[in-house]
Amino acid sequence: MTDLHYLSATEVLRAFNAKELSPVEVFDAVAARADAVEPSLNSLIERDVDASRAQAVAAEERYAAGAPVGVLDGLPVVMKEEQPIVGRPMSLGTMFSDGWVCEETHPLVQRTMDAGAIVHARSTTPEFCCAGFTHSKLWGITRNPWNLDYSPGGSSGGSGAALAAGTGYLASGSDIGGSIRIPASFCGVVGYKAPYGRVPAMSPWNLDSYAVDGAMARTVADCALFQNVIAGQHPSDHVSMPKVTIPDDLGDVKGLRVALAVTLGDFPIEPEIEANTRAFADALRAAGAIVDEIEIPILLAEAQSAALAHWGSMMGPSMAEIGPLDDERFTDYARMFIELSNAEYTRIGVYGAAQLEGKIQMTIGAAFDNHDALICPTIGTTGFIAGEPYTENRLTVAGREIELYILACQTVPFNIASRHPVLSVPSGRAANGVPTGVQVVARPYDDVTAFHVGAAAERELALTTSPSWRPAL
Amino acid sequence: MTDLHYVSATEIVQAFNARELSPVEVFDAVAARADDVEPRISALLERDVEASRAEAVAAQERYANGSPRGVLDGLPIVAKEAHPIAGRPMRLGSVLTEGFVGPATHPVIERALDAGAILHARTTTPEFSCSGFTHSALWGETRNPWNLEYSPGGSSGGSAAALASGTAYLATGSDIGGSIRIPASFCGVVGFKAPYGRVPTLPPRNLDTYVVHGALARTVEDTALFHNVISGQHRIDHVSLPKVEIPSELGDVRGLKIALAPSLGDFPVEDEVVANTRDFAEALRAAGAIVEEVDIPIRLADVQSASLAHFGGQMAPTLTSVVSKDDERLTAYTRMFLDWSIAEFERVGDYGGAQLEGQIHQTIAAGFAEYDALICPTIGALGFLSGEDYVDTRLTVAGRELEWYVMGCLTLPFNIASRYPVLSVPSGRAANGLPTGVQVVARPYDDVTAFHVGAAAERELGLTVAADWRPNL
Repeated sequence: MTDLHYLSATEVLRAFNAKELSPVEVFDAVAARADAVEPSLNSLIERDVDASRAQAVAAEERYAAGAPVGVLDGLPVVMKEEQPIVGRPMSLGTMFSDGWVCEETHPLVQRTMDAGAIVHARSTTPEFCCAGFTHSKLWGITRNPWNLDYSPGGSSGGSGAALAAGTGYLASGSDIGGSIRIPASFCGVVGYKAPYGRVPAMSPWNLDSYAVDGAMARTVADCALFQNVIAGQHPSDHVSMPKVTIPDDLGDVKGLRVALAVTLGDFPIEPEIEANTRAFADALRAAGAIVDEIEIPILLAEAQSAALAHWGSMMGPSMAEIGPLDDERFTDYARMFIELSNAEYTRIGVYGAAQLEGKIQMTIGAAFDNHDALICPTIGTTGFIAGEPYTENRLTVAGREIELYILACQTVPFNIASRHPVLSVPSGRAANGVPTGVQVVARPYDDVTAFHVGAAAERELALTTSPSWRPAL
Repeated sequence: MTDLHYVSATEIVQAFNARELSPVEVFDAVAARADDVEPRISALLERDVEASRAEAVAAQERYANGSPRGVLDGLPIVAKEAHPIAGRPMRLGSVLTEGFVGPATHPVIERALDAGAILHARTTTPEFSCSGFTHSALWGETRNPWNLEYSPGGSSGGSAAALASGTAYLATGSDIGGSIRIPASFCGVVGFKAPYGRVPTLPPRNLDTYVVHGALARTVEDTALFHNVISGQHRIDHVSLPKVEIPSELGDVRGLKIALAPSLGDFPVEDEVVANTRDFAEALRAAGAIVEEVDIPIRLADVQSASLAHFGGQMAPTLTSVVSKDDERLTAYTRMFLDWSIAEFERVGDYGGAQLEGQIHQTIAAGFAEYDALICPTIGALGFLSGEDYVDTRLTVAGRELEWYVMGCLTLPFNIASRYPVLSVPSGRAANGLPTGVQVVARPYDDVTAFHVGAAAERELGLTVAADWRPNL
């Protein structure tokens, strides 16, 4: 088998069970791949090849004995560093973190390990995961495997890059403004922002209704496999919700009514992305769905205000308590995040944000009166430049200079309307080589429909299954 | 049938369908009862006997045609005035709301009406529903049918008093700190605080995780009937959850493991309440459950701080957006609520509040780990005196003077840990004639277990089905 590191997780696990592949052989391929590409990408941290290989050997023995520990036994995966693992460093991409150690293990990581996966590395993030790109004073610049001049996006950028580069079969992410979907889109992989509460989180972040932990993978089926491992109630997360199992047989959308929004309200969008989004819609039509173009008249300024005020209520203070704002260990973008979010929180408060949020939720909700799902671009821009913090320089999207670069992404509305399941699925590539993505949004709590629609588009577009869907690394 | 006004809703609807009773006959009985007792109770507002009787006549015709409108067709019910009805007055118990009109109809009202219920009156609340008793400058004192010297509790006090006095078969309530459970307990009726989101509500208050709307009734079965009508996702409420149908066959608890907490942490509880709570536990043992005493070591001071900060951040701004907090026409208890909650919010903040809430969640979850359900008293005090606002006078419970009378109730922990379903069920009566209640708490989102346990205790105790379970009015 060639390019073992690019096989799907589903295929690798099938081959493990059929004893056609050994976990050791697969681990060695992934480790070799990481050795080869990491010097140019910088997406992985805390690799311990000996310990991970020992886990692969143990998994091989379990398969030989016909007793794998779980559905991911022996599969090399990476976990976002933000998700703690007891006893391991907790760096959060910050220069403040000297000596910080994780005191517990995130439920998502625990479930992944309990299913037998080998966490062979953790993945990079921006400082405090507060940005839509991935570079930091602590870890430097993580690059996009498709074009090294660009960022993989963020904050789960190390995870997105690792999947695209073939150094992990599954990867975890977290999303409080787009941090799963943005890197999934820029890296040409699949990312799932489940409805708030579906995947358990850690206190007190489980109480932040914008915050969702979740699965990233190279295919919709792999993403479903991983989601089924990590989803469902956990005793440590009071708000975590009962599991909804994603079925194996995905992609039947015949007769399904899908709304196409080529943008959301007045969010700017590049023509290349619009074209790829329309191709995605045509793929769904080819699969038998009824796709109608609609408008979702939300206002970028209201989404920005609500989100900043919301972030200013919990996330901003959690960063600000680390040190004084003028401490030179802070990155400029972290400082900007604290300042902007605190200013808006002070101005309108949580109740003011709730009024805006309610309006946005109802505007989005109206689209579902006559549709089972909605598709719209994940990001309006074709790339974030690697290493650029967008604090001094403003980002221009489709000829429009925007105040806050993160609003180039159409992701925040679904942190505001956080009960919608949203699957980001590749829609094509831009001229700069960077992939583009579409958000597949289903009704609140209707996870299964999002996966059906994503799988149908993936199948019809046939992008990611093609051998050419590989970055030239 | 004698005492038609005290027959259960379930039996009334069955008799309608069997044509053994007519909606007109039943309405006339309820209207006569209201004429008789309302001068002493003062629970009902906006009665329009002619219009309601016309609805009863129409329902009677539908039953005669064999085509009732829904499962509640022709049933006289009442709704808390805080549940707006489009075009109807929305006074919220305040002298400062002259001319306020309901902007929309609340989903619970819409669903009750769609099911055919006759909303023959609305019910009193304290000003802005911000207290645990029911009296206001606008509507005066609502009294407890069991002992007119006492309050029915609040804020859904009019609803509970109406049920106890036989002027409605079902009633709506809302609960942001105990406002369904407190009056249910003091009035000897049943009230269900569903998991946050299960019953839809109007934006933007749907985003306040302490806020739950729900059903009150005289029996567990009637509460289930009503809850099944009002629960489930609604397009106007983004966070509303899928429905969990409560089965009609309730009360099998054989083998169920139930934790008994005679108090929660350091909340004071009167001996009479403890004794009735233990009787409730014995009833469950008799029904085949395994009941074990546990300690849930939450601290009253933490609950008070977290909840006041939460109210200050989210509820106080809804009030101060329509009235000045220093307006002298506000009741003293509203001013106190605003002063205290705003001060605590300023001290603790949203992020600090979330941290406290997270600790309380973990403590409750740990106590619950081995059990399917938890039972604890609804209220530690034996009664709130009618007309007393507990601003200058402090409430003493079990010999302990409380800074804030609301802590005489054990309800707030389950607004903080708001995903637990909590059914308040009568446990007996105190020497002053007032009923006592027990909170049946099931695991997050496990509504059905709460109803099974409540129904089993109700059946074994045999209190509410006894002919003497009637206030002496």
